[in-house]
Amino acid sequence: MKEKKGRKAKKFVSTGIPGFDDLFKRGIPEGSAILIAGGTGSGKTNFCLQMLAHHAAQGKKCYFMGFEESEDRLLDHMEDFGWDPEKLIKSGNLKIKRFLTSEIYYYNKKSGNTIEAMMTKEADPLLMELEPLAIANDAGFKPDFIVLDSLSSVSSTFKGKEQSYRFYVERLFRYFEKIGSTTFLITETEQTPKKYSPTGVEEFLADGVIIFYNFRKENMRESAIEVLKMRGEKHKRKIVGMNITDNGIKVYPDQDVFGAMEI
Amino acid sequence: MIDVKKLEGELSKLPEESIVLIETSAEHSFDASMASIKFLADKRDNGIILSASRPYINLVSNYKKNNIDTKKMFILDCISKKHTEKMDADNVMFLENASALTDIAVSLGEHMQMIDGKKFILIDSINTMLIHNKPHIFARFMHDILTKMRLHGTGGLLISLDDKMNKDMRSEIAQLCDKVIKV
Repeated sequence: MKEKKGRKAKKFVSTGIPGFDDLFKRGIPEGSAILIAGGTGSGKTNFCLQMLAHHAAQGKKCYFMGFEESEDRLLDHMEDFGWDPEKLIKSGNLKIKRFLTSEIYYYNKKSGNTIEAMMTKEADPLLMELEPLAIANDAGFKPDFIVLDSLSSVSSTFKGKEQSYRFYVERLFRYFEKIGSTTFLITETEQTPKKYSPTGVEEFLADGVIIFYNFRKENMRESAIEVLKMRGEKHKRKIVGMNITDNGIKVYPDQDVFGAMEI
Repeated sequence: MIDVKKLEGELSKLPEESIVLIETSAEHSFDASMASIKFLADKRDNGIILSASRPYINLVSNYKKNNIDTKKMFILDCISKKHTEKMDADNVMFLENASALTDIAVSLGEHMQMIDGKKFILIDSINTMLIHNKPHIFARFMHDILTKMRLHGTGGLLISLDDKMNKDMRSEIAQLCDKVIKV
């Protein structure tokens, strides 16, 4: 790897999603934390699964951390699109695991410490205690790509304790930065969102924000996608067409979205 | 009856990549559409038909009656999807409806690239599409499609009912075409 003024030269990763990578000059900067925001049924989870399937097939280590759908349902989705998840799992490159949100709130099962307890103790800012939950319970599995589905589920665990949630999220972003994986954090929004994350803070902490739209037009909906932000990379600043086909998501990087013009 | 000879004469004078707005009356629009397709199908390899007026089954049956080679026609059918069982035909794509402009634009663009050889696009009809879409958005759609056609060097025909389109919309579309033919 070339060194640039004492710093590591930037590397970029693709997603393997047809048309999507053409929205960037080079790709997504490796090690970024990206928010994947959109309404229900807009294609966020499929997008992430498709990207993981692509990278796992290329020999990269991929980890899907879910709080919503069961492992079996996620595997069914992947099979429906023809991505052969069993083969990817057997190869050791893909892990899909469902967590309980309580596993986050009571982040350290051993000590039983809660986030509040930790805040009062001026804990290690790198929040090493998050590691058992996030990754290290699978010793030896160091993921190149992580998907967290979803931050919205995580935030619901902190209902009425927004300060604790912010504290948690800030450290979560720092943790992902530290381990160097390229991370995709799904957030549930309105179909045509004005806010892209549970508190609005996440979109400032994230290196990138990708938005999925589901515009209503007459009695139907039109899918669209936009790269709103990507630190360290030039990208198209435009809402473009997207379809969820029988083989997965396809993006049309030059296609205007007419449903968006009715808003 | 429309004057088919006149229509053919006008079309034959134009370069193949021309985009033409054909204005006709409601009772003659189908004849005008058939006569134009017959003329172009005899001259070029393939046609892409965007139909918002008649379903695929009806079109194919009429093409056969008019000795138009249906194998050369690919139909984007915007009206039959909700009424049609899955059909085993490789020259049709059923789109959600005539208001699915993004899907229509994507499909037209993809088929323009996929289908080899000299080809034309026929949009039948502007007026039917306008029933389902707001004029200013439809104008953007037409601009998008006609730009793609120009970039590909693909010629085409737009069928419209005279006196039924509002003046501004007609001007918008007519100015994007190479010629307006009234039949």
